Amino acid sequence: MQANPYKIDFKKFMESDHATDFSNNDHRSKAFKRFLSGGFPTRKDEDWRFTDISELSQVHYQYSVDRSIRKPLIERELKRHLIPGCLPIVIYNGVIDKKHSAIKDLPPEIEINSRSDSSPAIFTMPFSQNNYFNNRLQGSAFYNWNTAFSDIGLQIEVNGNQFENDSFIQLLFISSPSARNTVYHYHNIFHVHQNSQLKILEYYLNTQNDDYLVNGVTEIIMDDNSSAQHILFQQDSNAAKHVHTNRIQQKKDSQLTSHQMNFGGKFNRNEQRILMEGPGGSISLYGLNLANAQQQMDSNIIVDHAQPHTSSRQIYKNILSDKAHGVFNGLVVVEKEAQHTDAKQTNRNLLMSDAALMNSNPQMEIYADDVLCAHGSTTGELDEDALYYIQTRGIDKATAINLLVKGFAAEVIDTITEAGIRSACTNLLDHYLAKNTAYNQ
Amino acid sequence: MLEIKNLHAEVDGKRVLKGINLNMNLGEIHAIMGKNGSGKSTLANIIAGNDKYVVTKGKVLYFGKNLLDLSTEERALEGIFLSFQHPVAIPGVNNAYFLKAALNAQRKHRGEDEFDAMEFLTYIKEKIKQVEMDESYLRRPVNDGFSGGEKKRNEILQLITLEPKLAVLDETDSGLDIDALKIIAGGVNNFHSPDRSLLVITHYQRLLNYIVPNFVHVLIDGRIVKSGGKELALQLEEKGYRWLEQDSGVIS
Repeated sequence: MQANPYKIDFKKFMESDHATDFSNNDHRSKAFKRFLSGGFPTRKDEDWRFTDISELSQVHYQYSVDRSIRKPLIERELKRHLIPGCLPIVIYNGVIDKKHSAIKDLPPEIEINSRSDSSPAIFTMPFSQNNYFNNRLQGSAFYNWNTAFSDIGLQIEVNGNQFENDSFIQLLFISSPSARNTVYHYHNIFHVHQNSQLKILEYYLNTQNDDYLVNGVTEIIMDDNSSAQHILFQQDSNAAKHVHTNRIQQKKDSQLTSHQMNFGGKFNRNEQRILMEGPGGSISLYGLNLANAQQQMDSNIIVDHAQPHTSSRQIYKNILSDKAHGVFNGLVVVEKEAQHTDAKQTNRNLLMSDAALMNSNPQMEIYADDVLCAHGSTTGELDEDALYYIQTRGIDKATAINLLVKGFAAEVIDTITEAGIRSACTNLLDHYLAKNTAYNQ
Repeated sequence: MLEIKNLHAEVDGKRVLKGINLNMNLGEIHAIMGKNGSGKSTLANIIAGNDKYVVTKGKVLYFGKNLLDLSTEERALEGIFLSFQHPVAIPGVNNAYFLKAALNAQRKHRGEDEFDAMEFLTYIKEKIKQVEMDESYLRRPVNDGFSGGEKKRNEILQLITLEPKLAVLDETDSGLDIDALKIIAGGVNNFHSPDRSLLVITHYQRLLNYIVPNFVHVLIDGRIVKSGGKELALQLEEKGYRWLEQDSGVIS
């Protein structure tokens, strides 16, 4: 019932020229059917037990059609958000802003297409196998909603080595809605071919205080012996909501490092869906959520070890103050064939106020017998003994708190290889700490 | 410089100090000896300003000023340093960053220019040699993954870096082998001068062979029951605490 108003929208969408980019519009129709039959999740769904999205599901969101650059781009804002050392691609309301994008500087191995341009048929990833992983993804309302309606986002093909010291590509997605209840269905596909390497930062931004929804999907297809460093940087407005699904499929001997850094948004949900479908693959997943006021941060991770000799590492951290609410649901599945899996999952959370709340639920399902698996979760306040220790060295309490929080975050931030991105994170952390004035007495 | 008058204190509602009196002059080394639970660490933490410990009676004067009015960091800035019995690990904060922040807080308080990164590096490299630590410790997180001995050495590195007027060493010798003990004692002795005082808290006489006290005080059940010269420590080593417990009427 909930999804009904979207029926008319979908019909309109399919008749419009927005639906031209998919080589197979059947794909959209199927996704929409699944979206209609499942509806939005409620707290009765296991995956949404701690997160109430009734506020979101009651709104009738309109997919963004406004492609115009509503206001002149503010150079000053770009200067603040474009990270030195990265190759910028600026996407304003779904359209590449060529003036501020370094498309010409990209290495020849990298090809970028935008969905909103009349571009050639975009590669899509079909659900070929009927396995646990795909079934889970196909059951996701947000993924299906996006797939049905998405007409913005980039497709990037990397074929050949981006050399070790090549720069990160920074995709700066600026959402600037002109109407109320706008939803941005960004859908990015990164295909890293055999022996190729990709370093990419997806940076989501709103420079006003707009109320909108980003329902983003990022698919990363990693062929044999490929490597990818993927960073998602969420700096939406404090009134906005952001749901992001990462669908990552990894072939033999490929290596992924992924960071989810969430700083903005009133409500944020990250769904990491990773299928390790080739032997010898490895992934390192990191997450850092900074929340205050009444922000909600929900990390929902599924890592599916489907083949032998794969390894996964996860470190997810939340720093919560005021009445912020964090949720961590992490599931590691080790399938029967996946012998010699090495999996470790860690969730650590810092509560900066009595009213902050964390729900943590790390899980492992292991069907193979020769594996090395460990998981752990801790949630606590700042270490009083450490605070005292620092103060006995002549450092005041506010500075001591900042030191401890920065130390806590460093375990995630320090794993980012690009110095410019690291310092952008540190700056945002400083900004966050400065706002927590209640604590800085 | 330090006058403790009839000091009573509690922790978690339990009376721990029951009337301590102690006077220290500038340049002196005092040792406090006593068994576990006698109140030694409580005394150290009250001087440093740990608010888990509640003073119920008595006074602590530091250069004539009421020490108990000062916050923990103000005491440190006024020249009080506590070498912890159990130094706390601070994951994610590297030693150099921490030391520089602490040193610059001191320098700022003393009206001196803060050290920049290069000045600090020159300064700290000289200090770290004194305690025979490898420079790689500067890049490691504070006490994180350090062995017991490394933590204690790191405390002494902080001591000689911050150059306080009163250093309280709380069981700095525990868990150290003899080589490490000598290195630490060497660092402390280099630091000690006519205008810097030491309050050395220990179970054993061993450390006092290397850091030689002017006065030794025996703490039993929250009171100083006997004071004397360095020979008192030797006496304790030989006879234990029992004779003093009997003298002071404490049933052990």
